[in-house]
Amino acid sequence: MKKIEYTRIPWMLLCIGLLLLTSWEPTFSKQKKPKVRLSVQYTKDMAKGSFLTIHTKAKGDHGYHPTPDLPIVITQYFGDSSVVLGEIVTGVDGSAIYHMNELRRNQQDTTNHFFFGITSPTTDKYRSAKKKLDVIDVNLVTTIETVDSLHKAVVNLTSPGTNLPVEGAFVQVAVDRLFRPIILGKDFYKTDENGSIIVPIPDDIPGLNGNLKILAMIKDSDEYGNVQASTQGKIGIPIVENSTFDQRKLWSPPSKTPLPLLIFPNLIILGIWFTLVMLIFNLYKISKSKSD
Amino acid sequence: MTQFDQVIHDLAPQRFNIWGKLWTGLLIAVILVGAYSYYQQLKYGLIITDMRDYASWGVYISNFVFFVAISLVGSLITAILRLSGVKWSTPLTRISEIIAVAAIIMAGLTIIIDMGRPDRLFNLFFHGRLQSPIIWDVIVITTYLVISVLLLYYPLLPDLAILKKYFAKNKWFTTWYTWLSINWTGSPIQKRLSRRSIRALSVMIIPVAFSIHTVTAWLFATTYRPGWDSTNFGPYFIAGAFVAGAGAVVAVMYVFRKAYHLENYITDYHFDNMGKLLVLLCLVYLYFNVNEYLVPAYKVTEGESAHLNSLFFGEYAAMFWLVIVGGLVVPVIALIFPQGRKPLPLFIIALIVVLGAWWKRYIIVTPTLLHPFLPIQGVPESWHEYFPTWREWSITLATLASSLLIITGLIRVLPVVPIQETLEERGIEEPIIEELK
Repeated sequence: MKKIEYTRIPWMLLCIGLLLLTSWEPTFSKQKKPKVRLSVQYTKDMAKGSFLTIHTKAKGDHGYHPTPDLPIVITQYFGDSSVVLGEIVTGVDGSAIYHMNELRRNQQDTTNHFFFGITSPTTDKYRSAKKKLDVIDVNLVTTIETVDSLHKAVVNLTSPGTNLPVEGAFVQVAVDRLFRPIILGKDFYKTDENGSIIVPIPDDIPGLNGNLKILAMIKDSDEYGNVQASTQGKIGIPIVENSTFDQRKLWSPPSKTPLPLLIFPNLIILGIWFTLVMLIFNLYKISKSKSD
Repeated sequence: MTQFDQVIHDLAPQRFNIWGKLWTGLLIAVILVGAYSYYQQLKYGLIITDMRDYASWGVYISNFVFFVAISLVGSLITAILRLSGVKWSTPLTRISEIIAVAAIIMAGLTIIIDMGRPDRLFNLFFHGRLQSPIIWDVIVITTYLVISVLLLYYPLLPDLAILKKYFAKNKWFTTWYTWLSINWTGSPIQKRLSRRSIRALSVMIIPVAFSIHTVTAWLFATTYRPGWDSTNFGPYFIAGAFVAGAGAVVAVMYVFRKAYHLENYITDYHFDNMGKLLVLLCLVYLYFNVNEYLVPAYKVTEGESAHLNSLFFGEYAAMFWLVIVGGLVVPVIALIFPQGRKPLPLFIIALIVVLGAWWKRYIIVTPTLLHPFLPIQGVPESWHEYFPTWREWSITLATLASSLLIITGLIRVLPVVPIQETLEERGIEEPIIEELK
């Protein structure tokens, strides 16, 4: 029978320990990095151009939270080929807006389709995510027409290049306001065979100097994304401003401090500082009265 | 050596020994590190701090409130006790006034440190709105600083005249003491002017001191937030400030009694009385704490509930209970017994009280900001929490070191215990006047 060499036991234990240590992964390393969730909106503003609004978030201890400083790559596809349009980094709110100044059109595609890929690569904090977007480019134009003192918003939807009318799109018409637009008529109107809709504008809507900004919007469309056009006209009731801005209120500027607040604290402050000046003057009197 | 000479010799400023020099060097080193961090803050902005949209007030504002609290001790020892005819506090008046001046200077500077654009400070004066509590704070801090400096300076005049003669061989000291003593000879008219001025300042500093801390409390209480939305905040802050200030005086008087061998002037009797005073102040502050937490805890509105939960049982619970129990309850129990009011135990307790007072300001400021009435949404995860970065800590420590350096520097050139008042109390006033004349 072979005799056990007891001196080797510590070495064996050390080797087993090292083996376990190298094969052991700490719990936190097994935790998967959270995956970024992307949401992308295509918007075409007829005045400002097209842009993609990208929102990112990931799941954390406090639920979903924005993912700032995340690189996003925007790619445009043409059949089998693709072109990287650019890269953008999300802001502190996890969102980014990519302005598409020069969109490339596929010469063979007469349907005005745009195909985009929005990718966030894997980072040290998050796993990668990808989103595809397919939109049809359209042109939206709105004008105000007045017939017999009745104002109407006239909206035309056409296809770029061919200028053919686009039928069957749902368009919302509204008056622009600071927080939320006021919808005119029904929630949505469907464009007719001429690609047009006509919506009456009530004559009792107030506006600064009577100006109203009429909006025509295609919202969250699977085909067109968001498309917006606007026009302005002096067709509202002029607003008479009823502001307290020029009055003496707690929220007014320094020149409009309420009088009681101006008088009484200043009297107290002046009283205290007058006494202090007198006390400082006492020091002068002390310095001059050494021989008294 | 005559009694007079002995008193002057004991109370005149002394050269620092090796420990004094090491202490000063340490303070300067801490200030230099903080100054570098502040340079970084000026260069890159407040992004180097952990303050963001929600935790927009952090350790700087906690530190500011702490300094304002400490400064209140000037009015307590110098004014309230003086006007009440309390004689035993005489040796402590100089220390408390020096602490008050150092603290109020640093309170003002800390606010500037908290500003993202300190170069725009003067806009506060040029474009400030009198409707804003921030402007009230600026006015009242400036006023309090001037009153504190005058209240430190007036009782110093006779001492400076005495020191001018005592340091006759030291040209630098003589020049300074001559200039600062403004021809003080102790003439009746000078004494009358000085006495009246000190009395006027003692009366004036009390409402201004109460205002400074009440206005600081209003900076919080005039905003609608859980934990701050309280009409109790002004007196609550004042009560807390007296505790912090009294603790600071005890700590400083122990150190300088030890360093300058002032056992004959700052006696065990003074420590005993300060211990009793500290018990009273802690009890008053505990009463206000009960008010401050019990009433909202009883009502448990949704916003207050999240805030109180974080304090009582959540992420701030350890700090909160340490401050309440360690910084207030335990000192009260320890100081009830005469042994607890002996110099060394009282010194240790005072240090704990001051440390507790600092953390108390931290838990007044930060948890509330992280529990707004409308939930925090749409911001990066890290913005849900706040803990100062090392740069914030280094700047904060530098401000604390600066206040200690001001105290150390003033004690190096001024008598810790008022010489003239000590001579008068001991009935050896006459020979001095004769000698000076």
